[in-house]
Amino acid sequence: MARTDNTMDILNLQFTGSEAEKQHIIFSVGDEEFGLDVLRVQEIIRYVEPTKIPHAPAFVEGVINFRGEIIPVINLRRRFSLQSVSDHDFSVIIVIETNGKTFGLTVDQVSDILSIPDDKIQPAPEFSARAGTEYLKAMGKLGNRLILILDLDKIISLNYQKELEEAIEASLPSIS
Amino acid sequence: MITITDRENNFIDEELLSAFITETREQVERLVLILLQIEQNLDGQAEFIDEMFRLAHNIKGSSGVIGLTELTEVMHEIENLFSAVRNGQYYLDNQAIDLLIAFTDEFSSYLEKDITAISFDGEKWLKQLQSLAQKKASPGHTEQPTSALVLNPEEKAQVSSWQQEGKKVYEIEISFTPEAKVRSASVFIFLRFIRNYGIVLKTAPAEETIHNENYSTFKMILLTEKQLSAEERDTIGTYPINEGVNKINIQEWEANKDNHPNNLHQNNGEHDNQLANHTIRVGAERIDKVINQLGELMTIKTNLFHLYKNGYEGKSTWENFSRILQELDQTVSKLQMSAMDLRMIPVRQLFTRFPKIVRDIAKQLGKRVELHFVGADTEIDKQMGEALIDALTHLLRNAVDHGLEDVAERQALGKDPTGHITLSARQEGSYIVIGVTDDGRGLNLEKIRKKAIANGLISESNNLSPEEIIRLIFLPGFSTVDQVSELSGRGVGMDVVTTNLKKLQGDIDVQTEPGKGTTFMLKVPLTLAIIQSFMVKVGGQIFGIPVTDVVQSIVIKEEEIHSIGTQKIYYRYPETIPLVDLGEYFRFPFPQNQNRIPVVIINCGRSHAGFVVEELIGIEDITIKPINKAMGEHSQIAGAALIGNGKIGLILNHQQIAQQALKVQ
Repeated sequence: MARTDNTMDILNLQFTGSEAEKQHIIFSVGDEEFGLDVLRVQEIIRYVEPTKIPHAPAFVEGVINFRGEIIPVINLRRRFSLQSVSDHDFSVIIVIETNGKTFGLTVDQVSDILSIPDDKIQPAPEFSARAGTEYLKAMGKLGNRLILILDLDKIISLNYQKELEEAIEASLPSIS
Repeated sequence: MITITDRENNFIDEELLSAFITETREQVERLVLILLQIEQNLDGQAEFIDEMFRLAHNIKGSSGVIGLTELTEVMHEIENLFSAVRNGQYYLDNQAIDLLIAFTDEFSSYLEKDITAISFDGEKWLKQLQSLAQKKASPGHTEQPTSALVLNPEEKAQVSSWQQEGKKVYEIEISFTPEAKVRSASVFIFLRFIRNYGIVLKTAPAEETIHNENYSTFKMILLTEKQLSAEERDTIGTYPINEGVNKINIQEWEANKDNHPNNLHQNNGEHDNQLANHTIRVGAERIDKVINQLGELMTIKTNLFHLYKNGYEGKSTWENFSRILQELDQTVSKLQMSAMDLRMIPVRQLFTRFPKIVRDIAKQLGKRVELHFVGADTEIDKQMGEALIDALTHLLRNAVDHGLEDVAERQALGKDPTGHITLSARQEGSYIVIGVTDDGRGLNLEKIRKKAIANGLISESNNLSPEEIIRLIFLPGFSTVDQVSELSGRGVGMDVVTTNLKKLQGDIDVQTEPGKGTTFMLKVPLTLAIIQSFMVKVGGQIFGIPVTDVVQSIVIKEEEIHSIGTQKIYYRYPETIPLVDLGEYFRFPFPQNQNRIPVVIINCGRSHAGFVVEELIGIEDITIKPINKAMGEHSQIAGAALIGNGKIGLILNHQQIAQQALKVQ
């Protein structure tokens, strides 16, 4: 593994020690930078290959053992319908807790922990060609960086993709 | 059944009696704990009074059931006392606590005796309790209680908003000498006087109850518009109301002063409650065993440490290492066993509730029934045992309702007019088998078959063996009783029992003989936490199938597999077993060797099915863990287990998989 234990420790230290409010953990999936409220993040762990679950949706990579608890892991590349990577040197699993549900998100790389001021956050566009935009809650602008802030409920919703397709379907006549 | 006679010539069942003793002992112990806690802080009694009242009420109720009249009377008096405390009409002082503790002492030692032969001396306790209760109306003999002034959340809010407006809040306390007479008059006069200065928010005791005279102090909260001058405070402090008044104390109210210790107290109480619900009685020798084995582990650790320090000294180092590892393995297994033992209880504790249930149903149906226990000392994991209660209750009801004939019918058949039901328990390896046996009419196979046809479960042309017909009763929606009775046969019966058992990784079996009776056998693992699982590999991953449903594991050749349409089958005399290729079905492909195809044959409903796997690994003891439901339920996976190297093995919900896979194909 290219990444040393040290890096993980520093990352985890940073986010436990940081001021909670408006702090976002910044990571990349494909060419985009994403942000997640650090309050939702339990821990960042180095990528381990999850145990696959038969007949699970494709974006569910499997389950891992997180401190004795068996939690599902969602691969964001697959969730955003991007090409999978076989090189996991920089991949990490971000362990999230929201509404009593604990799960992991596999992302390409974690880069930063940043404060994004409220006035730099704007609502997400309805549809866009960018990968992953359908799972957004908002967007943050920091200089020339665009941080896409994820909506966790949409990420874990099994039906969301279907709902989305139906919504597009319904809006088609007006587009054409 | 062993029955004994009490003083009123009612029958007391011995099992019921032992349940009463165990239960009551626990409740008395809890009561003593609370009393001791109140003794430390009399003002905290309000926090505990509900629980104390409940305990007293429960003990009274169960003493009544057992027929211990004297005890019931005493408990009734105590209940009254607690009720008075709850209503603010009485305050438990040290004398009352002493009396109650003395009573619980005698009660506890009474429970150790043969309570059916010796009656409880309730008379003296009744007298003392009654004189205690009367004292509230005749003050002066002993130290009078002080009342606590506790604000409810609404009042607290009122006080703090008053303070925020810059206004003042005072606490005034009048203490009486023990000889003080007509305290209510003093209080009344003082209240009228003090209302010149501000608003009286709350008093303790409450203003409506001052005529009880049973207080040594009278406290109040006074809200004033502005700060009282030293002069005014002096006037209040020396207000000449009565010579019985010791002193009048006035000070500014500190919101937190009262808040803090009270909250702390409450939390303690809640914590204790939780503990009480999850306590378990464990024999000291079992704990010693765990401690001893921990000692052994420490020795092994020391040995390992030495070995490491000595460094590598050739082959002998490895031999020593391997020997120590072996010891470690054994000790850890032993420790695991003794740790699990801590949770074991004799099934007797579960069985105690059943005689009453059986008796009630029998009475309702006009049948005569005796319930027998066999192997009631067999031990079972407490949690597992509790999970079985519903199933056993259902089976017992069925046995009385459907299994046993009524008195006339039994006499006509030349049988004992009293029907016999036996609840038995025994251990078989890592399983407990609990049996419910009746000596009734036995299952009517023809009736079951007809009913199943009528319900569309099978068709007329189905040629089923007797065993297959019997297993029909476990299918959903099956009920043979034409009239749905109040007791059983609600149409959800047996299949619910079966479903519950499957959840516990257990199984059910029936044996029946016409005219002789029926036995239902429940087979469950000794504990919920650890199950035996048959491990297999599919597509490089490890999966487990609960051993209870594994019939056989075999290795067959490609040429032994036949096809009916798209369905692959394996023929094993005299049955045809449908196969599910798990690699293909899960889309976890693996290379197959045509001459060595591993197959696990499992029970699937009434028949068998075979799972084609990549590799057979064997039976392992595993601890099942649930999978976090963030992504919803995975109906085909029952749970996960940590296997070596921190890896995860998924435990298959094999029934579900077999049913779905075979339906699809």
